[in-house]
Amino acid sequence: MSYFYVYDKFVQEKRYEREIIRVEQKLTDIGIQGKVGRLALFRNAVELVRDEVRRGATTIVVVGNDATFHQLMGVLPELGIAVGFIPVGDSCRISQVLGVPPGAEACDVLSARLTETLDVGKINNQYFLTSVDVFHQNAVLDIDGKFKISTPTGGGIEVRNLGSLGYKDLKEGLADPRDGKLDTIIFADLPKEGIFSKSRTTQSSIPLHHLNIVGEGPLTAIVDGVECKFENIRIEAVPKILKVITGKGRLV
Amino acid sequence: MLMAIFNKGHEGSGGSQNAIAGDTVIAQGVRVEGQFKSDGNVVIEGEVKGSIATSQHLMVGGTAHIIAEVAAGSADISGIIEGNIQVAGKLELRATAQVIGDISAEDLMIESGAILNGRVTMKRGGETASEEAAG
Repeated sequence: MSYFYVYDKFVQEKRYEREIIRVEQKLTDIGIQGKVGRLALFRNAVELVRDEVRRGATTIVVVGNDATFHQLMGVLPELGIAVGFIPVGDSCRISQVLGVPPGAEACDVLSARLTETLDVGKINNQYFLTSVDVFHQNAVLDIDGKFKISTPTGGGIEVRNLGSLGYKDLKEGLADPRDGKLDTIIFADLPKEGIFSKSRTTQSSIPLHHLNIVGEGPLTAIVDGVECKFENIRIEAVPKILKVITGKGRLV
Repeated sequence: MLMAIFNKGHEGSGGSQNAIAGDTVIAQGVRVEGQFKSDGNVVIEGEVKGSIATSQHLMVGGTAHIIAEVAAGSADISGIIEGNIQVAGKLELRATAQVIGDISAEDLMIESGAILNGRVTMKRGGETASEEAAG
């Protein structure tokens, strides 16, 4: 078993030094230490990982946070090998869902090697693990020309694979990442019914294998927590492609 | 994520509160146009134009307005349907239901107050009553 640890740039800062030392010591104690690659401004994360897999790495371990995972989603589903996580710092909601505790405790999860093969989503040519959120008020969902879904009074769309992780209660936005489908959540703003009434937003839910989102102009979407712009959007589920190492406390 | 950012209260209105994970829910304020097909339970509180088909249970809530041909394994109707309805099993029309179209079902229950303008065909095991009698 050959491990390759991908360190995000921020974990190399002074404030994380002690934590990283504890992690590395634990990995050595358990006997799962491996080669380390460090992400840097002009270093292509995807090429870094591909090269190491070509050289024989059998497990890629992301050392960082959700944004680190997102950087590597361009290549992780294609590798056909196991992916682990050592969460460091803030914004580590993916690891919470997968049941991986932060810092050195994550090494025990890596060592136990409980794996799950998950679906991922694809937005145009880009993989995503958690969700795609589209804010465009007049966007229309087109399902292969068979039917269209719209919100005449405005709203938004969340397409969930693992789940939408921005909710205060993490469990509220979760989806099943093993069912081969994407939970498409459509929020519709309802007009007020009177001067003193409050505005309401309803929530629809449709499990889909694929969908197109069409707007009147360029669309802004949040993909795995990162803002992206698209001229048009096609989203599809890619079933059972990403093998991840999870902990017993996983939420899905 | 969207709801977390906007911090609005939100609801799946009425019948959708009875939906379970994996059901399709079309809530109030959402419009579907075209040939809508599902392989699971469907709850509709919004608008649908075209056709709806599911082999499972269809619930049409009080705020729903459907202008479509409807086919379902079983159905519970509280809203407005303009179109023909074909149900393999039980069809229930609640007090607020308004159906303009023909209906076909194996088992039918109509509450007082429901409006039905159309023909009714009852089938048992695929045969209508007259076909059974002709035997």
